[in-house]
Amino acid sequence: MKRVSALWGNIFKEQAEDKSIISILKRVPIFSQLTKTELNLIEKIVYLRNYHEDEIIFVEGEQGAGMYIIESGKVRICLGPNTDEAHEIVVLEAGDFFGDLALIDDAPRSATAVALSSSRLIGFFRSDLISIINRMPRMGVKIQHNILKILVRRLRKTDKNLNEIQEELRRATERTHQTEGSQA
Amino acid sequence: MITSHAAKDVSVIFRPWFKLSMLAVIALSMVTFLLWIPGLLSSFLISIILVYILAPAVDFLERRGWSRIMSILALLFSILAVVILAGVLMSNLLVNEYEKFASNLDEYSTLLNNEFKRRMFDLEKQLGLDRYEAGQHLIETGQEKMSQAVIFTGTTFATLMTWIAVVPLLLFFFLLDGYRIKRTFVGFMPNRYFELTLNIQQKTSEIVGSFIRAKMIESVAVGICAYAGFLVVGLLFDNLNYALFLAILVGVFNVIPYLGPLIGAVPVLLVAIVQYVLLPQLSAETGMVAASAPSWAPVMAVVVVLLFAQAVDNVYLIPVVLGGSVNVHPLIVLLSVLLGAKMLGITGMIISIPLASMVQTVVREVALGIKELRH
Repeated sequence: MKRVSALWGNIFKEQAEDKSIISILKRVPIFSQLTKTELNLIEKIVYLRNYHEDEIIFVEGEQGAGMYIIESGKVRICLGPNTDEAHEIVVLEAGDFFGDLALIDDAPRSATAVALSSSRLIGFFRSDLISIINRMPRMGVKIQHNILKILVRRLRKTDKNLNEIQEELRRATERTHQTEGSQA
Repeated sequence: MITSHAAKDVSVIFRPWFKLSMLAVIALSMVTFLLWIPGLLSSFLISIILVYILAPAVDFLERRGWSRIMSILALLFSILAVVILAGVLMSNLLVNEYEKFASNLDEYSTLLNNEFKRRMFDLEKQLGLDRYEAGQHLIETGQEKMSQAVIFTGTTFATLMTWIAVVPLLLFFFLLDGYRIKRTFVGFMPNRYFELTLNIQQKTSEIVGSFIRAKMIESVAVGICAYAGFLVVGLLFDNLNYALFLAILVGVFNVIPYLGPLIGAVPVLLVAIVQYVLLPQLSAETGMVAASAPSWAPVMAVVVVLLFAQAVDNVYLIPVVLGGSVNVHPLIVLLSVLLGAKMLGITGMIISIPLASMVQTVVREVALGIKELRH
């Protein structure tokens, strides 16, 4: 059974045809409220990185530097250092993003990312976000607000998942008690 | 620990060894170029230090809605205006002080030399060491070194001209395109070390930036403390000659941890001893009317001022201003000061400290980062 992750799965995905970097950036929730000028600036700041098939992007436990957006290719997110299908949380595709928690702090990564096919990623990193906040606070606040919205949405989803699991656990415990009562 | 799978059918330009080789070639070419043109390396290093000092001011103007280029130009022209204004206003005081100090230094050190020679000669005679002439040699070497240290800041006229021409230009481009230069270098890193490099670069930039800015604040504060103290000494006794120039020297040398305060105290004590003790003594011996009687009390007062400035620095400034930033290891301070002095004289000694903090931080962060690397 596939794991459900509010942290790593893309719960914000939209379909679009335009494949330019600006349009990809615009579809990422973190940059959603930015003006065209601001998006042009982000386009100049981000890094474009090429990964070959099976190449590790980052490993769980390493210090994170920032987030990635998939321009092309596929990326598998896995729990733990192993990158086989058994440890897979989710497979992300073009337009998806991951690793956004590293924009907030340099805490260790909570999963491993590996390129499933030849992939081109757009990297947006914490040092650049800090620089934007220092130089252009208006734009910095917009990005931070978007990051907050993403975190809140993920928190709500996690909370919902947790409640469902707790409810399931409660029912299962009740069933066990009933079974034990009828046997007695 | 896991290892990244080998590249399959990957173009040579995307392979890690190719990227690292290219980076090494670019870095080596840059160093060779900087060493090839005289004065360029020091201009480059000074510009990097100034970028750390001025970048927050440029960011501040940019936050106010100015464009980056306008912020940089406004800041650089403001600095130029302040330098010219200060030059005009203080030229009488400072330049005259410097010129007089420079021209009197020979006279002062000869006076000191003769006095020491006389005393050492007596001492050697008493101890029966006269044939070794150890004291004489010590004094001559000391005098020569002191004269070099105070007057010549290790800077030739040509180097100074290179700085005036090159530093503002480099500063302008580093402030304007710093992030592009950083991007280009980081972009060459193989995927495996890419995030590690970004993390190291960010931490180094934060730590070194705060260290350099704190050192500058510390130096200015110590210089002001020393000048205020010299003025008080002037009120109690005669005015200390060249007080402003000497206070600036005390402040500037204070950049060097551990050794700086001692180096800065040398010219101050030289002037104080000659002015308050030797000159009045000489006047009395030659029958001239002395301005005041020889006395060690003002010299002691000057020593107290220097100690007070150091106490303020160590008790208040270092814990409060420098508290959060990097602490350069004493051994690294000593080695970098020696290397700086060898390459660029006193200027080298001063700029070696921020550079040492930079190297120390990079080495520590790289070592930590590589230890934590999992693939």
